[in-house]
Formats: sequence, C-alpha cells, structure tokens
Amino acid sequence: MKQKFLLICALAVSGLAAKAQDAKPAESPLVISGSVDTYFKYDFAGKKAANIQTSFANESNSVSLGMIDLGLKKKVGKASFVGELSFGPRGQSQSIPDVAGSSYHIQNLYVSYDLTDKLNVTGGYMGTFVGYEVISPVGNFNYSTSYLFTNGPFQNAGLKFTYTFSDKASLMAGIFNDAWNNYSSTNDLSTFGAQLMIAPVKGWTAYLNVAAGYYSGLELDLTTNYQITDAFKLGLNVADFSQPSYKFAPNAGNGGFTGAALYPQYAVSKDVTLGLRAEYFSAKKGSTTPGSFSGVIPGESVTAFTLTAAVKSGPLTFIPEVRLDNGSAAQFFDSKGVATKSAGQFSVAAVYAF
Amino acid sequence: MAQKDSLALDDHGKYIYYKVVTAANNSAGVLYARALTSIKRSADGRRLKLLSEDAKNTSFVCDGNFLVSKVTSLAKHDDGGITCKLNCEVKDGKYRYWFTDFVFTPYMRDRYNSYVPQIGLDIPIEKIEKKYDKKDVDHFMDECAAFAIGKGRLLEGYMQAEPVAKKDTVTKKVITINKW
Repeated sequence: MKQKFLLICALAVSGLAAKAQDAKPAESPLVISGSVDTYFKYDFAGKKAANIQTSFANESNSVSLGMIDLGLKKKVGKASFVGELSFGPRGQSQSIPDVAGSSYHIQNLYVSYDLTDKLNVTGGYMGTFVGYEVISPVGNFNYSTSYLFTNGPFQNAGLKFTYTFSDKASLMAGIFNDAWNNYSSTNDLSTFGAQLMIAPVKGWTAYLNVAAGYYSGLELDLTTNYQITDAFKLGLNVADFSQPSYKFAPNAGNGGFTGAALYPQYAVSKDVTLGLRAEYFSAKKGSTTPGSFSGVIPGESVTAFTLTAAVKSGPLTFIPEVRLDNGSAAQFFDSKGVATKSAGQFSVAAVYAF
Repeated sequence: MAQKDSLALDDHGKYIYYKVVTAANNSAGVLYARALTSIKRSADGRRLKLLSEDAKNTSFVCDGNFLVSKVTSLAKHDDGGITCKLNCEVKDGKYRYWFTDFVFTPYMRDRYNSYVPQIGLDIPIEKIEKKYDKKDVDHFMDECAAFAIGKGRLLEGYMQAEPVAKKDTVTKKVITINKW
C-alpha cells in the first residue's frame, strides 16, 4: 500500500514538474535553399544546334547557363508552404512551353496541410510525381536528361491527398489540371494522378505512378532506387505513354512511347561518384503531336549511354559527362549536315547547391 | 571544451554519453516511474520514443532522433537526421543512463523542394569522417553531444522532481456598475 502511494505521489509530482518544464514546441524556421548551374558542351559533330534533343544542356560550343533556383519553405503546426522560382534557360524557355519569354518560372508553388498524422492534403503547382529525373540539376545525377524525362510531364497543378500507411508504404491520389506543365488548365481539372510507394526491403523504394486524362494522355511509370551497399546504388525507370486521339483531329495524336532507363552509380570515394545511364526509348507507331519525341519519330527508337562523374567539393559539384546516342533511324546530323544514326557529346557542368 | 568532448568511446569503439546519478531516498520504483514520465511527457517527446521495457521495470530503451544542418552550407536546411538509443537503468537510490548507437542519414532535396532522407544510406557516427568534411563532422558530433546533454538534463530534472507548490488562484475582479 505504501509503495503504491509512493508511486502515485511520484507520478503526480513528475506530472506537475513536467507541466512546468513543458514548453511550446518551436516552429520550424523559414528554410531557404537553391542552386546555380552552368555548363560547357561540345557536340562531336561540331553542330551548334542541339543534335541530341533531350532537355537542357542544349547549347554546343558555348559556356551556357542553367538556372538560378531559389526555394522557400515554412511549416507552422500542420500547415506548410513551398515557393520555388527559377531564372535562366533551364527553368524557362528550355523547360516549359507556356512561359517562353517570361522572366522567371515557378518550379513549385503549393500549400500543404496535415489532416491527421497519416493523411496530408497538398494543392498548387508541383514537380511531377511521374518519372526518375527532375528539372533541378541538384535532383539528378546525370547533367543531361533522358528521353523519358523530356517527353513526360515536368510539373502538374492540382490537388492531391497522400496517406502514409507506414514508412514502408504510402498512397497518393489526386486530380490535376488537364494540361501538364501549365499554371492553369486548358479546359478543366481532369487528369487523375496516383502514386503507390512501397519500400519492400531496407534501402529499396519503388514508386508506381499513373497520370491519366483525356487531354494529356495516359502515362504509366515505375521509378525505383535500391541502395545495395553504402557505395553502390541502382535506379530504374520504366514508362509507357499513350497519347490521346483528339476529337478535332483524330489522326493527330494516337502515338506514344515506351522506354526504360537503368542508373547504376558507384561512389569511388567520399567526393567522387561514377554513374551510367543506359536508356532505350521507342516511339509507338501512329502520329504524334509534335511530330517526334525529341527527334525519335513514330515506329523508331534510340539507345543512349551517358557516363557521368560527380566530383564534389563542398557544395559545388563538377559533372563531366560523355553521351552517345544511337537511333534506329537517321535522326541526328554529322559534321557535313548529313543525316546519321548516331550522335555524341561531351559536357562539363558546375552545380552549386545551397 | 567543445560539446563533442562530452562523448567518450565505449569498449565496443562506439561513441557514448554516460552518466550515473545518485538519487538518495528514492526507490527504484519511484525513479522508474519518473524516468518513464520524462519520456512520455517531455515537450519534444517526438524526439525520444520508448522502444522497450524490461519485465522487472528496472530498465528501458528509447529511440532518439534529431535533425542537423551542415555548417558549410550557405543556407540552413536539414542536411541529415541522426538516430540514437537512450538506455536507462534504475536501482534503489541511484540510476544511470547512456546515449549511444548514433547513426547519421544524409538528406537530399526532392522534386517538391523538400529535404528528405536518402533511403538506405545509414552511416554510424564513428565512420562519418570518411564521408564528410571535418567542419561538418565536428558539428554533427557537437549536435550528438548537445542532444544527449539536453535530454539527460531533462531526465535528471524529472528524477529530482519535488512537489510543486500550487499557485494561488487569481480571482477575477468583478465590477458591479449598478452601485456607484
């Protein structure tokens, strides 16, 4: 009895003391982050215009600009916002069709609220949930980008709900604007998007994505990463896209693409990581709008190998890269301007992340 | 003295923050109850989570976690998370606790401009100097020590808990305007 009484007293005292010591949890600070990138590229055929037509790093024989990217994030209690703006070719004319000529581009602009510990709602303009690569050079290992990235969505505006079952599984479902990569819809809010995240074993995450709408088409995507050892990581992206047939022009858009890219990366030291991107990309038969996917016309394909080194010095990363693309059709041009099946380039980029 | 100097190496070569504290006139039961209360009721209890208790109610283990930023970054954002274990054991009149198993997980920027863990990369703090600059390593070690010292103080505060005098109730003054 005495022991019980002592225990109750102890708990009561601890409780009172705890109350005195409890303080309001500090709110998170305003987070500022971003990056700056610039590059030099040499096309092996000496072409000035982009021979390999995937996104960014398009200018040959030139020291050229990527972008300056500035992001803000703040969370107070259950509510947060992100605002991220970019200035420069990578974020503007090379990136998004609807803002060509603008002086900036919005990368992310959304607000988010934790409805419960497991359920979150987010609305606004967000980096797409589809695919392996992203616009920001900080988020990619290779500096040039894949055919799958270039021809998939970059960003989607909409409203999404994410339910986290555990740290091994979550599900996102949302409704997005009909047109990808636009701040506003063309007609309506009609693209359905969903993402299932699973982490079957330690170090391995896989994302199954779907973006489906009558206006932009249907893309099914698998993006996965497996950190097999401390030094070795393997990534994989597989996607299939079907372009919709337009009512006003039934023959204009019934094509699509299928592709896969493998991303093995090996850290040879704390400052140097080597990585390869091996990609196969095939344009489906049928017609497309525009007439090709980064130069790959319907019924043809391309195989691309990109060998990249990421050499870190604090916040600065040097990225020398060699890329060789080989098409089933003569989609490139040689030094004499004759159509050819292969193209190659060397680039070196500097990316400063802060 | 840098805070990281408060960490010592144990006989397994792991960094540890270790303390034995005398708490005369307190039974093991009382100390155990107070220690558990400190974990369950501390303001930032999300940073320490009870993992297991022994059947005899004399010891428990908690998971700890906190976020760190590099000192070499221009802007301040989460560059990594550190997890650790808090072990606590009580006896009549004394108790001991120690923080160990510090593991660093680097964070990366994701497509939504958030900083998130790099899944699968867990670096024991003892090996972190092979991966990061010395300035950052020293800072991360300082943060480990600061976490352990701060949580240790909080725990010791609960263990010493004395009855807190009830504050006098402040009576609200009522003004009657009918009489003047």
